[in-house]
Amino acid sequence: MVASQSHEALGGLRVLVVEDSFLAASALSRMLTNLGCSVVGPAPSVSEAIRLIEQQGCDAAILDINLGKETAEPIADVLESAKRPFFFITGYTSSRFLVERHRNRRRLMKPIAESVLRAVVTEEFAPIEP
Amino acid sequence: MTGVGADTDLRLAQQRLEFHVGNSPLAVIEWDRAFKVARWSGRAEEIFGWAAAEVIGRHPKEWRFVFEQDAEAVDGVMLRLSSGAEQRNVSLNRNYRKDGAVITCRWHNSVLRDDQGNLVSILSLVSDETERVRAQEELEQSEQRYRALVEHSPDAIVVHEAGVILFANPAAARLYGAPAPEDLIGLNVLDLLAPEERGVIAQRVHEVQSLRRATPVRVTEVLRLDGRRVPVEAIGTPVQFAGRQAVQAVLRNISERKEAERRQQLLMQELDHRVKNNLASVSAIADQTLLSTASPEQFVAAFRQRLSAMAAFHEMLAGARWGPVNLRELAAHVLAAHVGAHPLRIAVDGPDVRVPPRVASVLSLVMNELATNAAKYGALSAPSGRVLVRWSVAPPANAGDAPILELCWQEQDGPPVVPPARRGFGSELIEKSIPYELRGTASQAFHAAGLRFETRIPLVDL
Repeated sequence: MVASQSHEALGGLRVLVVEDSFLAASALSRMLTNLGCSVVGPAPSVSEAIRLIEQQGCDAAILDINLGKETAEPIADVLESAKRPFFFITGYTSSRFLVERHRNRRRLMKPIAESVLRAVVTEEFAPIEP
Repeated sequence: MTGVGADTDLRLAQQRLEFHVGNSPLAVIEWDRAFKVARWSGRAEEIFGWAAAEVIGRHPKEWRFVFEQDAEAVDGVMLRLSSGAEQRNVSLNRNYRKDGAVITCRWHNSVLRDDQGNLVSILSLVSDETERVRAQEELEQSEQRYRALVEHSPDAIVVHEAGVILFANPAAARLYGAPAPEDLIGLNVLDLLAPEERGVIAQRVHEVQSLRRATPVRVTEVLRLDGRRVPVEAIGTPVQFAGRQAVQAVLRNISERKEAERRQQLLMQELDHRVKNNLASVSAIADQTLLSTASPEQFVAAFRQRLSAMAAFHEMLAGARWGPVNLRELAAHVLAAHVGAHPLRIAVDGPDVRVPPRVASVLSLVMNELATNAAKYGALSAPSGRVLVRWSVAPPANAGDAPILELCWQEQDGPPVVPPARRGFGSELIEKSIPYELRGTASQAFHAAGLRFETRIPLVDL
């Protein structure tokens, strides 16, 4: 998909970013903005993320699995109920941190290249209708 | 005719007797009524060494024949025979051989009396029991050694017959949580095993018990009397116990090893995670640096500088074995790059406090940016300028919360302060990373006298 096409498809899409590292959150936010999305947050914790979902809402989300001593599962549960598309990012190779129901969801390994992010975000958040 | 026939019979009978006496594996010795040697067979010569001619007519006390320590007992044996108390007896005692060696012999003695009851002669049939006695002693010593080994073995040793415990050592009592080894006797090893292992272990028991084959080592889990599970390495071998065919099982407690493996696994995963997070941070720093530098040369210089601040932090962290870090040392490390030839330009003042790794990580990046800015626009850009970094630790507002680190970066005697028109990545990092990552507060104030940065950070291990 050409950059401009994905730009259109993603135009204004409100994406929640949940990531506990400031640097990584800034980088991810910047990349999403470059893709034409508008960033909700970023949020470093479960409580902050859920607060943002409730107060501002979002169209989609990218969740870092490990948030200090917490995991992103509660946020994933909320997003699933609200039927919002989302995927995980992580530094761990195994999925042992996730409960059964979230283990099959897409996981990207850090660090994420911009081109990879573009492809995945397009595929997950704005797929071409058949 | 009868006389001749009777003589022949007698002679033949004597010949037969002579032959048997000489051929027997037992020594045949005959003593007269005075206990002097009357006959001494060839086997007696073989066993004891003396030829018949050397001992015929002599009393056993006349030559070194009976071992001193057994002399009294042998006297008793001889007395009981001569006194008529016994007609026959058997004695196990030591004798000397002609070469001086001591041997153990079993003496089967019997007496012949005439019609008046007078002693005529005594017969001794003697077997050399030395080897048998030695073998018996060796066996007993070997048994003792085995027993000591089993008693003191740190591994649990259990002997069972088709599962039913016949013997257990002290280590087995400890493994299964029994007050004493005896308390395990009669219990079934399969009952003292994790349920899911019973099928496989029953099969192994059958192999050892019935097919008399040792089984290879297996990692399994026993069930203690208190219900707790313990991981073990187990091996079974066929063994004889109290005359029965049984199984000897040796069980090694591998709890510690498993725990170490688990910790190792966790560490490896942690490492993986941290490395990836670090790479993500480096990637982010590269991106941000790119946005704020105009040329590749500028990029490289700025990027390298930020990277070396990260490296300084890591060196500290490694030195602290990935635990809390001394704040003074951290500040010294990070700021060392910026003081150059003038180490007194940055003064550091505060109590000894160790901060959690997460706090140290963020603070090191923030201080690096403050120093970079000070060098570009602030106090460190002029020779007269100074920076004072001070901190203290305050108790929390609510008891039970973490103490608060209060740190202040004060610039002075630098060029006139002008608030920056555009806030670049450095300012973003300085003002937002602490609230974002550490739930603290951070602010920059561009006072005329010099920039002042203040932060309050709860010292929580995140």
